[in-house]
Amino acid sequence: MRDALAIRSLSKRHRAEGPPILNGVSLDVASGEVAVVVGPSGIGKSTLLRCVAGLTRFEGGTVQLGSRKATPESPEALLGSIGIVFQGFELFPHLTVRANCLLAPRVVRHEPASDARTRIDGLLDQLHIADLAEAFPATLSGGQQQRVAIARALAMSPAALLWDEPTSALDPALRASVTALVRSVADSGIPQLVVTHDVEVAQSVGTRIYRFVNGQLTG
Amino acid sequence: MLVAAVEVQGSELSSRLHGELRWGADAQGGAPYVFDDPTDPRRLIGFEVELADALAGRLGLKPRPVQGAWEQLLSLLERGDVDVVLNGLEETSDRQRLYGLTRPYYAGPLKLLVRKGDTQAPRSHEALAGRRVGTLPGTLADRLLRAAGADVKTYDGGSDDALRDLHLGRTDAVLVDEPIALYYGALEPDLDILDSPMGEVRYVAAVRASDPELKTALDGALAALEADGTLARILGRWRLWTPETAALLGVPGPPASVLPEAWLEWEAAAGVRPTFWSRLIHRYPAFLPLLLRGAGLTLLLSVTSMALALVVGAALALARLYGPPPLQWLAVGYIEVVRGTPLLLQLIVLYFGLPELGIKLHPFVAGWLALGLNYASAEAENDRAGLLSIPASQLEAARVLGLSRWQALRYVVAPPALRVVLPPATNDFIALLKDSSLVSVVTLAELTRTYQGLASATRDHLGLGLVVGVLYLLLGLPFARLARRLEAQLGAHLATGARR
Repeated sequence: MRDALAIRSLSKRHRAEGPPILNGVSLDVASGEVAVVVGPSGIGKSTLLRCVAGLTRFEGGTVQLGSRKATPESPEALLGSIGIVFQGFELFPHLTVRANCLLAPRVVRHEPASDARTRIDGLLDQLHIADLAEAFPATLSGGQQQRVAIARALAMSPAALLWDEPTSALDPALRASVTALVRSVADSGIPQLVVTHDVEVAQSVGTRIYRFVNGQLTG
Repeated sequence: MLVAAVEVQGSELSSRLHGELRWGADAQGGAPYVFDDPTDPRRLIGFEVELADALAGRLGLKPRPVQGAWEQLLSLLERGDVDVVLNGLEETSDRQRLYGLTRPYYAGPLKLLVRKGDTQAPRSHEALAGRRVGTLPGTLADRLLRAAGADVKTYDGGSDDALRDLHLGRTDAVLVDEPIALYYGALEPDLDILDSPMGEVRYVAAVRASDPELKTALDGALAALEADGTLARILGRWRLWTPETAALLGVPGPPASVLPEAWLEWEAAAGVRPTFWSRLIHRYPAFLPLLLRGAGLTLLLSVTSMALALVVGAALALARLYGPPPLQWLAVGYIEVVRGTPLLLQLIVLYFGLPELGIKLHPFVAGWLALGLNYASAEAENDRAGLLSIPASQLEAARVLGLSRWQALRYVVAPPALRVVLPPATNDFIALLKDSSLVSVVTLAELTRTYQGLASATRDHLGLGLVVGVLYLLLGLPFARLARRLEAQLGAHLATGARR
């Protein structure tokens, strides 16, 4: 069993006098669970993910993972503990697939080169992209890039994994494989949070589904 | 008696000056003062070279000529780069007040030159008003022409340029000291040297006002050289013994056995202009060692300055983009001030201005700092453009993986940004290579300066200019090639089909 991801009363405005983007969002994601937040584009779902991961400040609430806790005073407390598979993947174009995955373990954790390489090559193998280890991102298809993004996130052994619109950059035919990928990560016990505008995707991957309306979640 | 006194003083001076007489002159000013020997450009010749050698010999010192732009020679003296200026310096009341001036060693008339057969040409002092007349800047002729109401055109590049413009009809006349008229004007078959008296110049040497011992020593040495006939022989060899000098010094002229050998050699070397092909085959190869030495200095200065510009530029760009507000303002302020003022101004301030604050830089260091710090402002903006070309989402992706801001910048943002920065930075390097010619104002004989000296000594601006232009191209091309290869390597990951 892994630590649950606990989000409590998260609130955020883009401007001090503006309307709230997040208006007291609370959410628990247990080990192995996949929570899905569904809502139309542009209403703040990505902002929710950015707050949870520690990429942006928020005015109120907390995000907790076991003993670690992000607050408005220390919003970056969980940076490096939570992985994100970005909508556009955000692979590093100047690095090969293997180097994309090796960068953080080597630079942040100072993992010995040979150990890290063995571990990463195992991960790439599990994701069926071992033959792409030496390729550069620009030469890969969308589906392949997504697998690299997952491998890169998992390489840091995240305590939680967030997905931003996991199907929007893919061919419709690849949707089923996304479901399989999310499930395989769930099997390892990592709590996952997925945001999407696509109800069908939500139903196929989610163990619990929420609607995002007016900065709040409804069940 | 006098000679003995001079020698005693000389031995005291010698220890203070470390056994050297550093004398400032501008070889670009040309014949017959101080110039590159047209038949052997590694040698500096001229009547003032012989005079300096004789003076130094009298004082028991080793003569060491220091090259500087003529207008800057007195600044070099103030700065302490030379002990004495000896280069056709006229005696004026202003200079009398500010410097220690020696007794004169030459007196002669100013001469007006016009085109042969030009009936409209000004031929008298009165006729100069409103006419376009060329001369050298800061000279007695310059002041006299302005007083006469002439439209004065001055030439930093030397007397040959002034005569060239007269020849081409860009000016109506040229007013110069007689030695220049004799050495350049007389070689131009289509120019007339007029006899009408226009004024008299007297050449003196200048030392710092704070250095009266040296002035006394030089005066003593000059008197000795007058008395034993050495000065008369030097002036005679160069065909410069004038009635004015005779009247001023009150000593006998050179004996009849002294022939104007130096003048004859100059006339033989500069009076005829060989064809371009003959110059290319015979003359330019002989100049090559000197030109290559200039090119070497240009290259060394450019490469080290660019290195400084890249380091300081990167620091400025990082401070401006990611630093706390006060650091951002400092960076913006630096960039605006440095790129908004001329490089030449910055160079002169660094070299001649800072000594007022007690900071005296070596010429190379001053040139290096001026070029490097100036180009740093351009590189800072290149780097900023490069960093901004990488989307913020890349930085976020790195941060989510646990990289610090600095690590994200170093491993994720900087490498692809470098590819954006490389082409404009290469462009700047080529520009710097050319701008490095400005350092000649701080006595550095880089490629352009070397060219100017040789061109003026051989009266060959066009042919030699082509040769030097090719040298500049050869200096820059390898770097342009290197940059293209580097760019291709950095961009390899963007090429499709790179998958193995």
